[in-house]
Amino acid sequence: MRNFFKERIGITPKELKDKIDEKVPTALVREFFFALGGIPMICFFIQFVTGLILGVYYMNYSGELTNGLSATYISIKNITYEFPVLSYIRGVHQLGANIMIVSLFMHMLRVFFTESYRKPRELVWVCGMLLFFTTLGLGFTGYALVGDQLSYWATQVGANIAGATPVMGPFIKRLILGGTEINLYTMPRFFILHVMVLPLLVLTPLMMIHLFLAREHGISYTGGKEKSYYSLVPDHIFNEYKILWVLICAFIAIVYFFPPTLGEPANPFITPEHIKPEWYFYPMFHFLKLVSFRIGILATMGVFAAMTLWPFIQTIMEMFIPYKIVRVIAFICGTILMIVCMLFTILEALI
Amino acid sequence: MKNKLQKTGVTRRGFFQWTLIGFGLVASAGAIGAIASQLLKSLMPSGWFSKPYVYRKVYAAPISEIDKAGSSILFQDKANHRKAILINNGGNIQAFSLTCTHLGCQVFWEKEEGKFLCPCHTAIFAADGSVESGPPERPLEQYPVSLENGLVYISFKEPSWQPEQYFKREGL
Repeated sequence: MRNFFKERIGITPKELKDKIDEKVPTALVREFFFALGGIPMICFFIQFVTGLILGVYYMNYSGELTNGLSATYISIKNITYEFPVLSYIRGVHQLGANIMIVSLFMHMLRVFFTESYRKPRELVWVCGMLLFFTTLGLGFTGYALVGDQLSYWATQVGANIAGATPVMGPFIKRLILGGTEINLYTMPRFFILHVMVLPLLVLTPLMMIHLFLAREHGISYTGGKEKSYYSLVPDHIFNEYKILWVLICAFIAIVYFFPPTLGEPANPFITPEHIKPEWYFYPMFHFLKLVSFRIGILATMGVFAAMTLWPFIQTIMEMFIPYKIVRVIAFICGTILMIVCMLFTILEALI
Repeated sequence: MKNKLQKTGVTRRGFFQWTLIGFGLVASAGAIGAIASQLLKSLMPSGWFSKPYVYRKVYAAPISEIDKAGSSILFQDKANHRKAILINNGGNIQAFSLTCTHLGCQVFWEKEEGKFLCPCHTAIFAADGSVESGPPERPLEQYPVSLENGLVYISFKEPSWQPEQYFKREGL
């Protein structure tokens, strides 16, 4: 058998295992906070499978049919209420997106506050931030596909935010809407972004680069001087596999008690009175209420850029300011941003 | 000449090879650019820089319904998803778009307060369309109004390219 593989693909399973194996600190089993990056990846896998099935039943015509509803809305209504298994799959897909973002937040917080982005891991952080934005983009394009009120107005607001980007804004807006306003060709663009461009052409390569770089530099365990290690293949991968099943069971149980719902059909004439985006956009949504339009957009983009390039910003600061003070500044900036985001989220949730 | 070339280590064959490679690279970059621009153009059905909006005159209401100062009529133009409000501001009949100039949500007309409220980012506009509070930087868009034989017409500003037409003519 060994020879069979060796002769045909040039490598035996044993050699392949040795090639991809690495030492993982045993402490990761106890302090799982250091291995949180695996959960978004597992969620992505769940999203991929559930998304494939949903895609088979999804219809993409947002124009009104004779009953005043769009084919999009009717297809989602059928998925949610007519087919019992599909309603589970949609529920898991929805929940998976939320858990993916929660675990990304946690992973980012851990990496930031343990300063695991420091040299030589700056690009791992940059790549991770790009993954984070891509995931938010996936969330946004995902709920824009539903065809209900939230979906329509989220598309409207999101396209106008994109349109406010300096210089390229109007061009980007026309590109994503397929015209100057939301029209029949808008939804297919969001669909392609959601099922092809973002997951396969952006997220997957970024994830591979992120993993490759993380492997290159090793897992940044800063919890103490760990001397004992266990192997990535098969032990750590088996642990991730167990988590996959825990997540699947948890998702199914949660969806059983909180089945997915569907809002009112999209109506371009009425914005619902208490319209809100998904919770992960609350901080930005609330911030946009507080400041003028241009400041809101530019400040948000500025914060995103600063977050992405933070390892380099910190390195530049260290050229002029003592190392210990820079660490305190990083800690304070991170804490303030975290508290402000949490505060805005709570305030928006209470309205 | 030969000596000079030999000194710099460049042979005639090498020179022509690099020149050809250079031409090849420039030509292929041009071809890729041309193809990419056409691909991108295919994604921009309303054109790169073409004038994106035109005005379309639509009958809204008889003047008798809006001739009192302070009266208002909401008007929906289903053909292009446009909603407007006709307001008699002290004898001056004005039509405003109900699309918030912040991020495009539909504002509500609060008749008793005489104000427009946006549900998305809590902006408030006055009855004359100006911003009273909140994040918008521009007033509500005003549509031209015309009066003909006692009938009020609104000139809606709409995109010059609307894909709905292709579906409607097929009966959808």
